[in-house]
Amino acid sequence: MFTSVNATSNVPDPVIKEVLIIGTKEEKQRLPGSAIQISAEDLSKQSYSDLNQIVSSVPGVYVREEDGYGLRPNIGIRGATSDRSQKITLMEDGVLIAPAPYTAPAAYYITNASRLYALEVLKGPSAIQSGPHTVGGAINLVTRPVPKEDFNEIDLTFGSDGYQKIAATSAYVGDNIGVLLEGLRYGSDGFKELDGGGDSGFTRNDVNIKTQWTPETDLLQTLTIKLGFADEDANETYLGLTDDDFSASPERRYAGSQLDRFQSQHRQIHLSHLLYLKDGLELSTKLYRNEYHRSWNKIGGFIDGPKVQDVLNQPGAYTSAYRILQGLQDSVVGDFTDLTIDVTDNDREYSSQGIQFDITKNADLFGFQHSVKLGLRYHQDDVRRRHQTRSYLMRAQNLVSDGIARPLKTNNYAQTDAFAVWLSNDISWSSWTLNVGVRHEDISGSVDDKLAGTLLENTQSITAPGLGLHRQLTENLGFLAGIYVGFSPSGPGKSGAESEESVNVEYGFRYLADDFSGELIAFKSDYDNLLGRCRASDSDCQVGQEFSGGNAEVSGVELTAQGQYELNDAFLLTSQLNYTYSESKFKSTFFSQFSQWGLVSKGDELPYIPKHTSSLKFGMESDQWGLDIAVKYQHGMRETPGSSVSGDGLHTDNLTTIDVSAVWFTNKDIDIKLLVRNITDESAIVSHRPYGARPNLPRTLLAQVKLRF
Amino acid sequence: MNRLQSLSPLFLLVFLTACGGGGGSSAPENPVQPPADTTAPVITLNGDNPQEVEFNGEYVEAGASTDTGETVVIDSSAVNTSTVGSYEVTYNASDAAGNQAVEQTRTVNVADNGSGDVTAPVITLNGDNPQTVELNGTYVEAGATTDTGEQVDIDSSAVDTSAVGSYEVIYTATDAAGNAATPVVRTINVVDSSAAATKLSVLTSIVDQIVIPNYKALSDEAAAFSAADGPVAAYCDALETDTEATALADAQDAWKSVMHEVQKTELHIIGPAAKNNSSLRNRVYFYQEKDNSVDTLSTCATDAAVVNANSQSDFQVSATPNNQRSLSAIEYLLFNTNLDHTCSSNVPAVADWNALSDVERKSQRCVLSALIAEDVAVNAEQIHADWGPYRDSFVNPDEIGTTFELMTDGLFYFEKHTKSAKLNGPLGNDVVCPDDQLTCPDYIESPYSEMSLEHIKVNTEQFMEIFSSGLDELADEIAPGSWSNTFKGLINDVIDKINTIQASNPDDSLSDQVASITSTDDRAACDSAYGSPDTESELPMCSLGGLVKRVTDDLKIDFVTYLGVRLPDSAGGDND
Repeated sequence: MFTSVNATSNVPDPVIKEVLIIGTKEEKQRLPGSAIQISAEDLSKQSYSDLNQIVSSVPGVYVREEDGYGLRPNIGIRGATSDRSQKITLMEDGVLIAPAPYTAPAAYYITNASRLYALEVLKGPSAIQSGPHTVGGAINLVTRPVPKEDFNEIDLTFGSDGYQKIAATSAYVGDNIGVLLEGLRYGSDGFKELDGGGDSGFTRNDVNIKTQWTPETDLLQTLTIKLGFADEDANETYLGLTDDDFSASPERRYAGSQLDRFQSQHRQIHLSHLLYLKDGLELSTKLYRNEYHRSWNKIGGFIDGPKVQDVLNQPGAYTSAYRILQGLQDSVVGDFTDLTIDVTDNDREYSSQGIQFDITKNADLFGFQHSVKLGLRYHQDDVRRRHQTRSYLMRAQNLVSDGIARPLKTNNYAQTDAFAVWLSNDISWSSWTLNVGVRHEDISGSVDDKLAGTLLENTQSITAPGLGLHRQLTENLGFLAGIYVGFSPSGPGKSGAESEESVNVEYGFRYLADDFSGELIAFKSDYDNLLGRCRASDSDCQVGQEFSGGNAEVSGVELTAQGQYELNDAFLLTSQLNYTYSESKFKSTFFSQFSQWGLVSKGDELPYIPKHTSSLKFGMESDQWGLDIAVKYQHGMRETPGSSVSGDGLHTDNLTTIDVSAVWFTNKDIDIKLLVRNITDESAIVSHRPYGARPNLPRTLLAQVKLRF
Repeated sequence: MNRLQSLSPLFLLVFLTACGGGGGSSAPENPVQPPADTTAPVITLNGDNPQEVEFNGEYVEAGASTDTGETVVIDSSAVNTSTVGSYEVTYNASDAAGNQAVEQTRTVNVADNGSGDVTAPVITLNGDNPQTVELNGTYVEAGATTDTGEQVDIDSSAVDTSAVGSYEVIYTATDAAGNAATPVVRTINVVDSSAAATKLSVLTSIVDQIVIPNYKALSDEAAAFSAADGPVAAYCDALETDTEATALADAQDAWKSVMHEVQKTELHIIGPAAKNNSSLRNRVYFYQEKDNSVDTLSTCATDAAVVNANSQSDFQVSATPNNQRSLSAIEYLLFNTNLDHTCSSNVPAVADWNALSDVERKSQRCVLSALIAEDVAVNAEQIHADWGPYRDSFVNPDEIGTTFELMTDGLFYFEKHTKSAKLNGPLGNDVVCPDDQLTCPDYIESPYSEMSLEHIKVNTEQFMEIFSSGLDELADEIAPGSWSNTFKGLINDVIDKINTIQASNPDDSLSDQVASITSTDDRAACDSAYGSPDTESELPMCSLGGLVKRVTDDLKIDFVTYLGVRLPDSAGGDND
């Protein structure tokens, strides 16, 4: 279970250690900051393929659902906006994994949750070791390590709405070389029902080869090469529903979204080398390159006509547009507005590459125990955006091209070079551990806007310190406190725009015992110049525009507690409670073109930060079977800034879902599992963004068979 | 059965009586014939003749009798007491011998002699009509009175304050004499002043008070300009006469008057004017910012059109492209004193042009001017005419979201055209002017008449007028403080600056100022004036550019936010 010492009991030695940021059990115990690990065991209980579902129960993490399958997760931490997970640092095995984490950090690609072996969430001062986005924290997605011995596994899952998943893992382990081959294909016909019929599902493929070589040299070292290929083909849309239509039929999709389709390919090569030198000196080297190409054809509104959001918010004032979206009315060319539907191919090519070194040195000096870590990284990433608008007329519930050639909506190339250095020292003495750290980044970027004919460049140089303290009060109970400066660089070419900065404070208690562990932590994040990242297509976020930032404060309390109890030596009972209380407010009145903010008044609450989130899990396991029940609650969230108790602006609904998993370990080679997601079939508006009300995943039944041979 | 038996004697009696049987009272069957009776009966009327009946009163027939007792047949069908007038009632009788009495008539006078009430009461409403009630607010019936004090019956059952809409309350009254008042209807508009209803009222006001009147004025001016006895025709006639110069000046002034109306309409290129890529508008006037470039008149094409208009019998202005027609071409033809063509040497149409005499060339230009003026008038009239049937679909509450934004989109002319194309582009302070050029004089609007600055002023004034027609109030409902006053202050700064420039340097045109920027030092001076427009500068139009940009910066950010509209041409969210 996470946060606890026993959580990482299955984490092996150096092999996996190199991809873990938080570190091993021993290191975790005295960690002067809050950090969460979710173990492989815990991940396997509910077999989630949706990262949102996995992290939503982590205290301090806020999730905004979008498509119901978590294809493009929206994850925020302690006030950093959840919008496309762009304000947190996302890593796979310690390597930045968002398509272009500096230039265009929106996480259109992320490691498939089905491949996860473990997951780490870093908050508090520990966040500064993983940049560039440290205002909220970081998530490290740990993939399956090359095992110690040969291993073959096939995982077949079938379920509602044509859901299917085939995952095959095969490992060959030689004397000092190991190869792990993983193949994954999963998809669904989709639970949404398109007006007039049509597919609303997706398919993802993911193939990875990990080769690990441990040469027999004097110094212990390992070299790991990881090759990955992933693609996706999804009939996904930004189009949601009006609230009334949602009430009538939450899973409906308007005919206007019938051409929407997301296609992507991801390729990656990661090289990792870990070297243990003498005298407690470790050197880790990572060399990586990721390439990502996506094409998303999606309805973006009406050409020279109303915004879809406005139409869905006030359908009665946009009658023709609303009816055309549904296919109830044909586009009339030559009327007051043609109401021609804009289906733009948001085509983007990303690449991201870099080299990073992490040096760890443990030493005793002046009677103190030091653990010094130095991280260096040189990183480059870029994005080429070429957004081609196509125009369609609604004709008898079908979108028909109007044959008019349209110009590119966006045509630009943006890139960033960044050098980052991070230094920290954990100084231990007696029951005290003090962590001092600092992160520095030099970032230079440019945007070449081919349409406007402009080339904008900017550089940023940011230094941010952190300080953490841990005191072991009793054998089991420790006190921790930390303060650090977090930042999130502004995108390239935003001359004059400063990076977003935050001062984050946390303090609390950690209790660790064999059968029970818990953390109670209060946090407060004080944001200066909170940036809403301007969308690529907003032509007005260029040079010197008044893109105002504001100051905001997010504070709260995070509680996590888990225990286990062995019954008659035959049953293991486990339980876990997580709860986060959050308060947020803007500290100034300002106006922002960021679509989620707009006009903000002092005292307004931030959008997409639920006041309460909690989860409660119960598990029971014997040698033959296991049962796991997860209850999650997310309080309704404000979707626009505001302060009144209710009634103004957009809100998401309160949502309680219950997921149940029952597994039968027929023998050591075959597991059969039945899973029910959202067993009570709760339906709620989980977001009104991007365009209109969106549902959560309805009740879904899954049957899974795992074969090992 | 027993009861029926007991009734049988009664049935028998009835039967016998009906058949005339029984009883001895009837006359003998063969009576003695009396002497022939030739005396007709005489009818005597009972009651008054003429008889007076009150209007709407009851007519009571007084009857009549004959001296010999015959039945008198009375026909009073003509009498109509509900209409004042004189009617005849006829009385006839005949005896058994067939002698017909002399017909008597009685005159029935239906008269309104004042003592009876035949006047319907008149209902007067208290309070407002139409009456506005806020959604979910309380509807207070203001009541009504009649001129004669009767009770007014009020039927307000239709009013539903929980739903936005227009409802009717019906007021009726009847006086004691039964005179019913003409019912009066009060309209109750249940509005949600925080939402669409107010947008609707603002849009309605702008369309009815500004847009349609502007197109009417333009249509009228254009018609006068192109009239057979109008200024263009007069100038053409005056060529080579003593009055040529005066006539030309008159024609130029008339062109300016039409252009004044055009510049007002430019802030609302919506609806009929915007249809089919603004085709009607472009035929009236062509000057267009498009994709960060400015399309202006082609003088060479216009020169060629002059030749064609005078040499081709089937020449039609309506068949020529936009860049060689419209008021833009007329400006070139009327104001440009250089009569040589502007084409390169390889354009065959104008090969012989420069060899023609001045008079001939003026005459030929005049011919095309007159033809284009007619075409402008036709298209200006078309826009105005099209607004007629179009208006109701535009100010339609069901589409207010869409149409309101079309109107606010129209205001962005001020950004794309007034700011960028007309002013800052030519001065080299806008992206429409490529970086490798100091200035872009080709973009200057109306360069021959040197009316560019005046047009900018008219645009700005019109922008102010539209904004002040309720958009200001709508914005302030959301904006902190009174943002609209700040914004109006920025707009007024522009107007004041133009007035100052025009007053102090009446002969200094935008063309002159653009032409004065010839070095990088001049460029820097203009940039500085543009960046600090409050500081006095040798280049006041560069300062003006900075002031206009202040307006458009607020337009693009505050305006769109407070009015809840989108930036034109901006795409939906990419969440990038």
